[in-house]
Amino acid sequence: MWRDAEQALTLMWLLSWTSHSVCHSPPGRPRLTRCRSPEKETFTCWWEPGSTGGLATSYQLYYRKESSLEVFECPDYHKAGNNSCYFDKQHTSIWIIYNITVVASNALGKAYSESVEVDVMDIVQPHPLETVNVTFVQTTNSPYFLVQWQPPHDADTRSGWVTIKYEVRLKIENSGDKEDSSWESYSAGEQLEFSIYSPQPGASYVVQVRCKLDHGLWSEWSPSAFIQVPDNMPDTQNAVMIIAVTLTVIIFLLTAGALTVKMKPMKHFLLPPVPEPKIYGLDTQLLKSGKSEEIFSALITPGYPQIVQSSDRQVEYLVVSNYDEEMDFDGKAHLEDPKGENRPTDTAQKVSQNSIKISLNSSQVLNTTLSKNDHSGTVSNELSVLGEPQQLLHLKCNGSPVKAQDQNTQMSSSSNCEHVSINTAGLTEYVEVDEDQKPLVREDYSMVSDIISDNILVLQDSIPVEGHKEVKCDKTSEPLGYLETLTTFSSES
Amino acid sequence: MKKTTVLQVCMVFVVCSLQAVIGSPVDCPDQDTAGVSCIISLEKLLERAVQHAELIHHIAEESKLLFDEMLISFGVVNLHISEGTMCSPKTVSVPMSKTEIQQISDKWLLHSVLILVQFWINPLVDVQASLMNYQNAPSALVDRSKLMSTKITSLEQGILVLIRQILGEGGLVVEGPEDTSDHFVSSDTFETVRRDYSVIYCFRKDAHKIQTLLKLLKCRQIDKENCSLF
Repeated sequence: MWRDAEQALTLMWLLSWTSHSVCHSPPGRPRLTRCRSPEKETFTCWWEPGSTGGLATSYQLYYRKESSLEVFECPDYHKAGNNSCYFDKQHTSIWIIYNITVVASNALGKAYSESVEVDVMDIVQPHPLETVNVTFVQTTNSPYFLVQWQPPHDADTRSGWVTIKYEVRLKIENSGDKEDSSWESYSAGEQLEFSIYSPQPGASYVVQVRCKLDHGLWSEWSPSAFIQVPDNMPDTQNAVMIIAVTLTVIIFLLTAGALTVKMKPMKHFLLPPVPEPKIYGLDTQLLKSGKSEEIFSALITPGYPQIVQSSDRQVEYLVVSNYDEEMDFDGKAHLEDPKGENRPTDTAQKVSQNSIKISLNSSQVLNTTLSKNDHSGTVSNELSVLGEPQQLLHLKCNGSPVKAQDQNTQMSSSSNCEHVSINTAGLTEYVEVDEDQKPLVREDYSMVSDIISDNILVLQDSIPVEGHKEVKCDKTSEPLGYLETLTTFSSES
Repeated sequence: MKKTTVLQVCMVFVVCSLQAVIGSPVDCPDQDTAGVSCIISLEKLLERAVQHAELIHHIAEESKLLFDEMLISFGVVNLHISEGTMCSPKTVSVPMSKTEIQQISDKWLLHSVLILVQFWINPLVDVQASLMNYQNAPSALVDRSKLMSTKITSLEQGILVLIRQILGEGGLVVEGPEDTSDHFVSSDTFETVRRDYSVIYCFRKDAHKIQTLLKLLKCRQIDKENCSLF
């Protein structure tokens, strides 16, 4: 029992002794918490004291500028409050690194904090803004918030020493059941006011602003500003919207109904039909019925140009040949009354002679005379006109009495001796045709044996035809040559 | 129609050539020949210089952050930049506080800016080349380093023009700082990384200096009344 009491006493004594010694001990290490410069011209550092050790402890702050070994002490311990050091403008240098240490000292010893290197450029954080005003502006159809504030009073933005930037945020403040909405942030640049459009009617908003200098740290948010948006949004806006929507719907319904209902006038009014092509005088109904004459007669108007039937006038002469008659020729290259007794051969020869002569006298105008004599002999005449189609009659070389001559054309064929016809005999008649008279060859074109140019038709009374040969003779050919050919022909025939 | 269009085209040509001859205050194609045929207002020049400097500073900040991320991904936890002895050239003592800066003259401002800018041209080119050799360098970092090199050279030209206009002197040719310290090629990758990081870190600081100095200069030149000089 005595032992227990002794132990208790020694224990108590020990405890009191140790507690007494703990109260008096060197201080614990302080710690620099932060340094801030509100405007890049001054700065302040704060520290947190360690344990005091039971004794009165004092704190000193020492600093050293970069690349210099000289140590300075804090110029002002009080301006910024407890456990702080304020560096004023004379003592603040920018762009150099401060090496700061806090020393806690008491009677029993000293404690050094960890050194902190600080460059003023990196610790710039402005004071929070003090006044923020929000007003609700409802002038036009687009109401908005107008947020206004004052710059921090110590930042020198005028000289360009610092460039300030603002940021605004707001959110709807919901009291009660709904959950909090999130903040909407807007960057406001360097201006001192900001407009936020389209607020929700009937809601109450909370607005805050903060700022930043250069690339430093954002300040704390300003104290909140509250605003309540009135409930009655302009009715005119809604009314206009409603009216517009209903009108559109009505119009749409009307058009849809008009289109679906098969009312032709309405349909034509809304969707006019595409016009079809129209030709005056032409009725499409007639086309459908199939009566073409009426249509085309309608097309022809009095002024419509008509085809001139001029070919009738051109026909003046028709030559009709008679195969039973013989004819003879004389050298003058025009028809004369042949002698009746001529034989084909003779006539051939004669023909040749005549034809020669004819060729020589190519420029002569051949007249045709007809004589109706009794010619014996056979055959035929046929004329065939060879050579280049020309409008002139080039009937020179022909021995046959068939010539037709248009009074309008000239027989000047010096170049051509078109045809050679070997006529044994034959009588051809020369028929004059009046201009007004219709051509004899009306509907029966089998009588026509030949056509000379577009004025002359050669008609035949009888059919049989002796072969005739056509020999082209050109102007250069010698009459003799011509003769030869003729003779050959005649021999053949 | 043809005649009128031809006339219009001719008029346009005449007007344009006149403008080119007289010198438009709007835009000059080549800033080196400024002053001869082309005149940009001082205000515009200063504004452009400040914009350049702001852009460069912004890119430098981003580059430092990207580099930090890259270092973390490499596993390098703490790359300590010792006292920044490599940071600013010893030849130039840039004033360290606002009051000091406001007391120095325009001439001094311009010269110190020029020296700073010229100092950083070569190191940035080196860093850009070095970054290409990294295995996992983020492309954003490489792009930004390229951008910084190009912008710093154009800023140099702008500063030369400004010197000519404000101070009226010819081009200031400053001998480049000793290149010996810049071109050490180390086989040790850690050293290379450390060097690159220090270049970016220090350049960021100097970019901020350049930006601040130019902004002050601009305020002084343009808006003398409003610039607070206390």
